[in-house]
Amino acid sequence: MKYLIIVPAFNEEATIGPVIDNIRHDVSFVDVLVVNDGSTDNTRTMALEKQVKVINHPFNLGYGTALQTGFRFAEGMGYDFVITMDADGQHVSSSIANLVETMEKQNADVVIGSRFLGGDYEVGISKKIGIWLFSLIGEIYTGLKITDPTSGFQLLKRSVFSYLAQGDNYPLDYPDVNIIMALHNMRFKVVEAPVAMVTSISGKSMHSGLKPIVYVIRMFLAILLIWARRKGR
Amino acid sequence: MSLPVRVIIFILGLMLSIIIFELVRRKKFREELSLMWFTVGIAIMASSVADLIIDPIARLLKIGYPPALVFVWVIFFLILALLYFSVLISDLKGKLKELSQKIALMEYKLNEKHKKPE
Repeated sequence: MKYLIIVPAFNEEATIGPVIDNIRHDVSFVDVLVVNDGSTDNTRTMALEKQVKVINHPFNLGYGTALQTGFRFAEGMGYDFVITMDADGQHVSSSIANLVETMEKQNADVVIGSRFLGGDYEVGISKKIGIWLFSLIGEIYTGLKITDPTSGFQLLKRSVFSYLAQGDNYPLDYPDVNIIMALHNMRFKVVEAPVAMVTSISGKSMHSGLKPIVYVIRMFLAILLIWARRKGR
Repeated sequence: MSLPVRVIIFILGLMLSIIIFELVRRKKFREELSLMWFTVGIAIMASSVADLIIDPIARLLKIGYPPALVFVWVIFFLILALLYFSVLISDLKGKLKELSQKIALMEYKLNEKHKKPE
C-alpha cells in the first residue's frame, strides 16, 4: 500500500524543515510531497534540502488548489492513500498512526483528524462559534457528528482523492464542512479520529482581520451550493 | 435638445465605434468581446434622438424628470456588463488554475527525468 503525505506550503521556510523531520521520525511508510504554492521565501529550497518530492506552483493559487495539485499527483503516481498536513507545524505527525488505524477499523473512505476528540485544544471564542455552527449544519445535513470540520489533517482513500482531483470538485481556498457534505453526497464514509495539534509554530493564522466575517459568509454560500447541487453517486 | 447637441452626441458615438473597430482590426481587442462595445457605440449614437422616444415613455410612466429613465436604463446595462465581465474573469481564473497545476506537475516530471541517469 502506497501512502503520500501532501504538505501545501506558502512562505513556510521556518517550519517546513522541522515538519518534514517530524514526519520522517514518526512514520516510515510514507512518501512526502511538498506543494510549494508560489512562496516568495526559501520554502522550496528548504523542502528540496530535505530530499522530499517538491511541486512548485508558478504563483500563489491558494490552499485548496495546492491540495488538489497534490491529489492529482497522487492519482497519477498510483498512491493508495493520501494524508494532508499543514506546513505550519500545527499537525503532530505521530497522530498519523491513529488515522490509519481508524480507517482500517471502521472501513472508512475519509478520516478527519479532530483536535477536540479526547484532546484539550483551546481555540479563540470566534473560531469556537464558527466551528460549532458549521459542525451543527454538517450534522443536520449528513447525520454525522463532526467535531472539527476545519481540520486539514485528514486521511483519504484513493477513490476519494481521485474524485477531489477532478475539475472543480475541490474549493480554491479553504475546504471546510462543505467538502464533508460534498463527500457525503457522493456516499463516501466519513469518520473522525482524535489527533494531537499544537498552536502553529509560525504563529500565522489563515483567518485574521476581517477575513473571519468574509469566511463565514463565503462558507454559507458554499454550503448552500452543495445542497443545491446534491445528487447521488 | 438642440441640433448641435444631437450632432455632437452622434459624433461621439460614431468615434467610439470607429475606435473599437480599429482596435479589433489591429488585433488589440478580441472580436467576441468587442460586440458589446459596438452596442454601446450604437446606443450613444441612438441617444442623440432618444428624447423623442424617452419623453413620451417617461410621461406614460409618470416620471417627472425624463432623464431619470435614461439613468435607470444605463445603470441596468452597466450592471449587466459588469456581470458579464465577472463571469468572464471567473472562467479565466478556472482555466488559469488548470494550466498552472498542469505546468507544475509537468515541471516535476521533467525534473525527475533529468535527475535519472540515461
